[in-house]
Order: sequence, then C-alpha cells, then structure tokens
Amino acid sequence: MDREMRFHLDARAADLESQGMSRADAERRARQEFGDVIRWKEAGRDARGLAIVDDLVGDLRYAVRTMRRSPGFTTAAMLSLALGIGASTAIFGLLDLLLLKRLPVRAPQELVHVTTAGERGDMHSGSSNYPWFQHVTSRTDLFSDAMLVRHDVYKVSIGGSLEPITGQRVTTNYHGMLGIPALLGRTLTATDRPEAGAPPVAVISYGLWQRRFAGSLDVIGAAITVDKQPYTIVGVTPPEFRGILVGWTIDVTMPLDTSQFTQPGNWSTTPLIARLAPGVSSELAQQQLDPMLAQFVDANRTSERFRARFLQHASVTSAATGITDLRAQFSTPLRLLMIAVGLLLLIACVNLAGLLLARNATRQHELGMRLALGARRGRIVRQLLTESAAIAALGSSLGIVLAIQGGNALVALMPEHFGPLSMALTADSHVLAFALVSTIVTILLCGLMPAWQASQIALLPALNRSHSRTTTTRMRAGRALVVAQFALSFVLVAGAVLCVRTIVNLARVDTGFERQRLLVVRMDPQGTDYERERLRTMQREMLETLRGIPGVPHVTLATGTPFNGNVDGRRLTIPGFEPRESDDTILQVNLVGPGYFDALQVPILSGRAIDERDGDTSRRVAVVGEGFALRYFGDVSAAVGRTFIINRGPKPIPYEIAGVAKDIRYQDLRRPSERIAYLPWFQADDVRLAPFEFILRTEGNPSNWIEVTRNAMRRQRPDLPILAIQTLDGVINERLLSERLLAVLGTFFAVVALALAAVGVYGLLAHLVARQVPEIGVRLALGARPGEMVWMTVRESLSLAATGAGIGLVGAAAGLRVLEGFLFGLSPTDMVNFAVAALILVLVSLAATFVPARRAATVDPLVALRAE
Amino acid sequence: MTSRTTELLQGTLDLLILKAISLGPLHGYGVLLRLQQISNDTLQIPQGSLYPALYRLEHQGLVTFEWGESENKRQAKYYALTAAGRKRLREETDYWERLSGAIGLVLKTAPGDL
Repeated sequence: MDREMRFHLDARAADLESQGMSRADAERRARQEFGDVIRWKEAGRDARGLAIVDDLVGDLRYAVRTMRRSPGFTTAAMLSLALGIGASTAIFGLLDLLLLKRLPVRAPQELVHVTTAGERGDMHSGSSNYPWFQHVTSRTDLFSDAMLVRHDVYKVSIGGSLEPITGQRVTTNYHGMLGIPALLGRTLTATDRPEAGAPPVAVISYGLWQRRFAGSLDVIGAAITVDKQPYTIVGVTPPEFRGILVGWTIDVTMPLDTSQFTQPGNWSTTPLIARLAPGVSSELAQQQLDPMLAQFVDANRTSERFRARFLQHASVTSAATGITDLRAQFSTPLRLLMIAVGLLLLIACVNLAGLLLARNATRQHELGMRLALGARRGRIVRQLLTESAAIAALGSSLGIVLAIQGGNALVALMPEHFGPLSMALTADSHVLAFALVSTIVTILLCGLMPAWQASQIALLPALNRSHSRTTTTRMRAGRALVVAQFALSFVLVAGAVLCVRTIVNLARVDTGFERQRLLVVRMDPQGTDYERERLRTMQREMLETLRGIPGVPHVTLATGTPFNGNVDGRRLTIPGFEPRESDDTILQVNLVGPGYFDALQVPILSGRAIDERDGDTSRRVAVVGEGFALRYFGDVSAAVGRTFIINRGPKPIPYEIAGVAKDIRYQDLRRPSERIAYLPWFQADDVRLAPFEFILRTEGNPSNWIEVTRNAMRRQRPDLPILAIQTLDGVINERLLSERLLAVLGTFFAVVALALAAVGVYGLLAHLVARQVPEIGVRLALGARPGEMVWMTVRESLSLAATGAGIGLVGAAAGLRVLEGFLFGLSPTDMVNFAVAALILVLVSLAATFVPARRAATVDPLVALRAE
Repeated sequence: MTSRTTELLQGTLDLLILKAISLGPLHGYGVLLRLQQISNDTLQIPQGSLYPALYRLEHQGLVTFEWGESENKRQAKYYALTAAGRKRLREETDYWERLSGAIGLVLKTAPGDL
C-alpha cells in the first residue's frame, strides 16, 4: 500500500514537473491533490478487511500498557498460569513418554501385542510359543507379519571384560518388520536363522557402539561373547531406535532359536508382536482371535488345566507405543497426578478469572467512559480478551520452561534399576501441543466471563462511581470464584495429605526384619563359567571372604531377599492334610544360607533356625513361616517336627519342619507373605543357576560398605557376575516409588493450589476493603474500634474458606475414592484427614487476610471521609 | 483550478474505476489519468480515494492485481478486471443508464409536457 501510494505521488509529481513546475512545487502539489495519505491508508486497510488486525495490534499495545501499569496483578496472574500450565505440561510429558509416544518405527499404529489369558482374566501377557506364533503368522488375512521378542539381561564380554547388558533375542524378521535400517553393516535377515545352522550374529545399538567401541568402524566383524557364546557383530542400528520396550535400551539383538520352544505345552515369556494387515482394524483382529486360539488349542491337544489357566482368551493391544511393565506400574499414579494437574489448571483458571474480575471492577469507570464515547460492547469484550490472551501467552511460555525443567526432574525420579535411563523429556510436539491447548482453554475460560461481565456495565452508575447493583453482582461472582478455588484446593490438599500419610504409614510398617543395616549383592551366574560345583565353591568361598570384612557381623545368601529376588512357587502335599482349596497346594520357597535369620533379625518363634549343620548329607529340614504353620497345623509349636512334601520332578522330597519363623513382608509392604518355607541352601539337590543374593549385615550405614564389598569380591575373583550392590532400604524405597511420586508431587500440587487460593482470597479482600474504605471511615468516625473493622474482614475471609471447605468436603468424599487402592492404613474418607485439610485451608485464608485486614484497621477516618 | 469540474456522486467511483480498468490493466495512477482523460478533466476525483476503492473492489473479488513494471521502469501494481468484475460493470452500467435516463427525462420535462 505504502509503495503503491508513493508510486502514485512520484508519478504525479513527475507529470507536473514535466508540465513546467519546479521539483519541490510538483511534489507539494502532488501531495495536496492526493489528500491525507494516512487517512487514505486507514480507509484502504478498512476496505481490505484489515481492520481486525489493526485493532488487534492496538489492543495488544493497550494491553501491554495496562499490564505495565499494574505489575502486581500481572505478576500474580502470570505466575498462577505458569504454575498451572507448567505442572500440567510436565506431568503430561511424562505420561506421554510412558503411554503415548509412538515408536520410531515404520507405521507403529499397525503394531499389536498379541496376548493370551486364562479364565480368571489374569494376563499371561508375555507368553507365547512357536506353534502359536506360526499359527498367528499364517493368518495373513489378519496379520501381515509377526515376530517374537524375548528380552533379558546378558553377561556380555567385549574385549575380555564382562558386563551385564540388556539385550534381546528375536525372530529374524524383527528389523525388517519394524522397518529399521542398519546405520552400519546390516540388520538381521532370514539367513541368520539359528535353526538352519547359521553362524551366530548380533546387531548392536548405537549406544553400545559408542560406549564400548568408541564409534569405530571396525565394529563390524568384531567378536563378542554373550552368555559364553561367541557372536559376530554384523550391524549397528540408528541412535533413535532403542528397541520396543519402553524405559529399556536394548543394546544387543540376536536371532532367537525358535526350536527351543516348539512343544505345544511349552509357553515362555516371549512377547508376540504382530503387524495388522492393511485395512484390518484391531477390533476385527480381536474378534477373530478367540476362535483362532480355541482352534489352535484343540489342534494341539493342550491339557484342559493349562488351557483354563493360560489359554482361554487371546487379545490384541496396541503396541504402537512399545510394550512395557513400567506403564502398568506407573500408569495409575500418573493418571491420578493428571487428575490433580487438571484440578490445578482449573484453580489457576479460576484464580485468573477472579483477578481479572476484580481488576475489571476497578476499571469500571474507564470502561464506562469508553462506552459513553461510543465504543461498541463487542469491541470492549474483544479488547479485554486480548488482554487475558496476552497474559496467558506470557504465563504459558514461562510455564513451558518450568515444564521442561520439572519434567526432567520427574524422569530423574524414576527407578534406576533399568540401567542407563533411556527416557529424556524434551519439548516435543506432543508436549507443546498440550501446553497450547491448555493455554487456549485457559484464555477462553478466564477471559470470557470477566470480559462479558465488564461489557454489561450500566453506563451512568459506572460514570458516577456509585456502588451500583452491577457491582454487587460482580462481587458475588468474585466470592463464588474464591469459594470455588477453596473447594478445589480442599480436594487437592486432602488428597495430598492422604498420600503423605500413606507413605508415612508404609515407611513405619513393621516388615518383620531389621532393614536399616543390610547390604544386598545381587549375583547372576547364568551365562558364566560358574556352574555346579564351581558355583558352590565360589559361594562358600565368598561367604568366608565377606565375613572377613571388618564391621560385617553376619553374612548369608538366599535366592530371595525381601523385595529383591525370586521366591519360587512349588507344589506341596502335607501328610494328613486334605486340601480345601486349590491354593492349599501351593507353597513359596526361599533357599537360604546359614545365618539368614540372624542377618535379617527375623525372630524364630519355635524350634531352630537354618544353620551350618544343614548340609548335603544331613536330614532335609525346613523352617516355615508363621502363616504356613497356622494354616496347616493350626498352631506354631505344633508345626515343629511335622513333615511336608514338595512335589518337584519325578521324586517327591519330604522335609521335616525344624523351626517356625515370624512372617515377614516379601514382595508387598501392604501384606505379609502368606505361606513360605525356607530350605537350606547347601541342601538343595539342584544347584541352581538362577540369580541369588549375598546379604551382609553391617555395623553402620550399609552404603559405606558398598565399595569395600565390591573390591573384596573382585580381588578374590575378578570374573564374578555381580549385577548390583544395593542397600536393602534403598531397594524397599525404590519399591515405594509410585507412592513417593504421588506424595511428593501431590504435596507440591497442594502447596501451589493453596498459594493460588491465597492470592485469590487476598485479591478479593484487598479489593473489598478498598471499596469499603469510605464506609469504614464513617464507622470509625462514629466510634467503631479498629478491631471490629479487622474482624469484619477476617469474618469475610473465614466464611469464604468455610464455604469452600464445605463444598470441597463433599467433592473430596466422592472424588478421593480413586485413591482407594493406593492408600495404606487409611480410608479415603478419613475424618482426621478432612479436619487437617480444613485447618490448612483456614490458616491459609487467615494468612491471606493479614494485609487487607491491617489496611482496614489503619483507615484514617478523616482521609476516608474527605475522599467521599 | 480554473476549469469547471464536477464532484463525483457518492458510489459512482467504483463504477468509473471498473470502467477504466475494463479498457486494459492499469496501475492506480493510470486509473486516475484515464478517468481524467475520458472525462475531459471534468470529473474531480480525490486522488487518494482511489486506493480505498481499489482495495474494496479487490476485497470483493471484482479486480485482481499483479506487480509489473511501469513506463518509467518502476514497480507498480497493475489492476485488471475479473469475470465477476466484468459482470458487475455490465450491471452497474445498465443501472446507471436507466437511472440517468430516468433522471434526465424528469429534469427535461417542461411545464407544458404534462
């Protein structure tokens, strides 16, 4: 437009000049003839339909000016939004990482995890066997491809040094099906099938390549040993691909020898992932799966019992985001946090709405003036909306920064035993989209109501500055908003108090053993040279070595340290005991070395503990848990001397009960283990290759012994397969991660919510007091004491808090039931809990009242009356 | 301004611009020159008002433009009629002729004619 008009002026001037005018005259004349350039430009913009943009720029400028004029309001509003949006975006980012982020593979939405389940509905999720896999593969009408993926921790030796590394064995179509190219070398192909006698090859991750081969090109063709088997590296995968297990980085991928599990009854933990055929929905595949499974089971003559337990139903679940146990473990707490975050966002909105409302009330005069000068109401609404949008934009930008910082802190809170944490939270499109949507919703929610209200101003009263009817309704709306904030905060606070008390209760639980001074050394002999006698020798030798460490009074070993290892299930019969239910024949077995009960300080209630006497040649004995004794023999002392039989293999083995130990909590802090039997380690006839733990009792903080222990063991035998050395307390705390996550974040949310509510009530009261100054002045002049004025303010605040708490109580009583399964030693409607929450609310409202109340008390009647 | 000029009737500028452009693409100044030329300098057009009018016509889809080079080698915006613009020009011309005919008829009526 500019250019065009300049052209016109120049051309006209040139024409006039050629008619004999001087250059300067010509230019002046041209301008004169053209008229007011600015006016025509404006008219031109209007004609073009650009008026909206111009107005917007004007509105923005106006908004910035208003914001600068009231920095307190702006800061409060921005901060409340930044906190609300920041917290919700951080949580969303984490949820996204765990639940929503798609795998970096070809068409991830087509990938499904095919699972089977027994009649009780419990997922036998990871299981499959080869014939079933072939059966699924053969259904090309449903699935275009399918693969088996079995992941494990392998003892990998590269250049002579042994390291536990997360890896997987897969069917050779793995890379092809996922569409993963090789960064270097090649990926697995059908020619690598071990069943066909192909030489063993492995594909490694980018991470392992960088870490152990320093990114050298010589990696192709390099030899590594995986569980003692030699492999040749043939390829490296791209950096963004970490496998399909969320939270794990798969460093080494090898072909799966499917001939290992071709027997129909031989199902193993090997997830079956399929790709839906083009045009097949997962619903369609789901409908077909049950008949498919039934047909398969019939054809393979699977035993009825096996069928009932594991193969009743088959289902598909989307594997577009990968498969994970992490998701199952954390999805409930994360969803709860999401609800909390939603509430927080709502509070932030309400808060902002309240702030805007209060401010618009003080701006009535100005708005009234603009209306009187002929501004359309729609125009004023638009301008107020622009203002809230500007605040929202600033607040949410700040929120996103907070979100990324906070989100990474959240990721860091996740358990470490997944090895190097392979999740990094960045501002990716999902997270940003969420922030954007919440911002827009916030703008609309926060901006519309006050803006609409403001436009409803009655002209004359506004100009006359009198307290009109509209002002009263506005104050009523302001009160309602503060009450709503208090109610929402109440729910959050009550929830947070519940979570914190749960954590405290869990931390106080008597686990039945002394947990403060125990060190656990996790070992895994699988895939090493430690087998049979050599393993036994090593174990005896290590017990001696560890006993030699100063400050370590007790050393023992076990297959299952509490909260750590494996407690095996076995079949059991007891002479003279008729099983009442199918459960009665199942027993949990823990193999323990001598000194186990001393090391853990578990009291023996009757009989004796397992000790050095119980070896290869002595009579087979067992110590059973209290629950076991009570269940089968009715009494603790009656159990000693009795016999039970473990049915394993062809020959049932009888054990005599030598003692009864107090029950301890094994896997779950919330419940004691039900039936457990401890068998002597050195009596076991099968020398187990499973992971086990050395347990050390230390005289001080056990973490001080970690390095000493590692060094002592390594010095003795450098090739020991040590998985980890941890304090037992640390292990237990790790178990409480989701509870801790909820408690810490819940508290954080509650505090933020309270801060927001405090700002809200402060804003409202400050505004009320400001408006009541003349009234207070009159009252003081008529002899009222300042204390009464303070009480007037406090009463207002308390009644708001009480109303809010009352409404919140109803909401919390209904809403907090979602926490039920999560709590320990508490009910969601615990009265003490509600009382605490209400008290906190009242205290916060009192704190927020302090400044306005003082203001009310210090009104100078003279000044107030003069202003009137 | 010594010559006798005529102020534009409200709303006729658009019609005149459409007409001027219908004879061939023109830039804004060119529109002015052409209008002055055809009307023998009798029409007084506020020069700046051309532009809002042009933008209005553009907004209504009656004219389009493209940047081209002017006689004196400068970039200028050349306006041309769209199909809708041509149709509108026809309609407006018809309307104008009927209207001016009717008004002329009324004005020429002598006392004895009735």
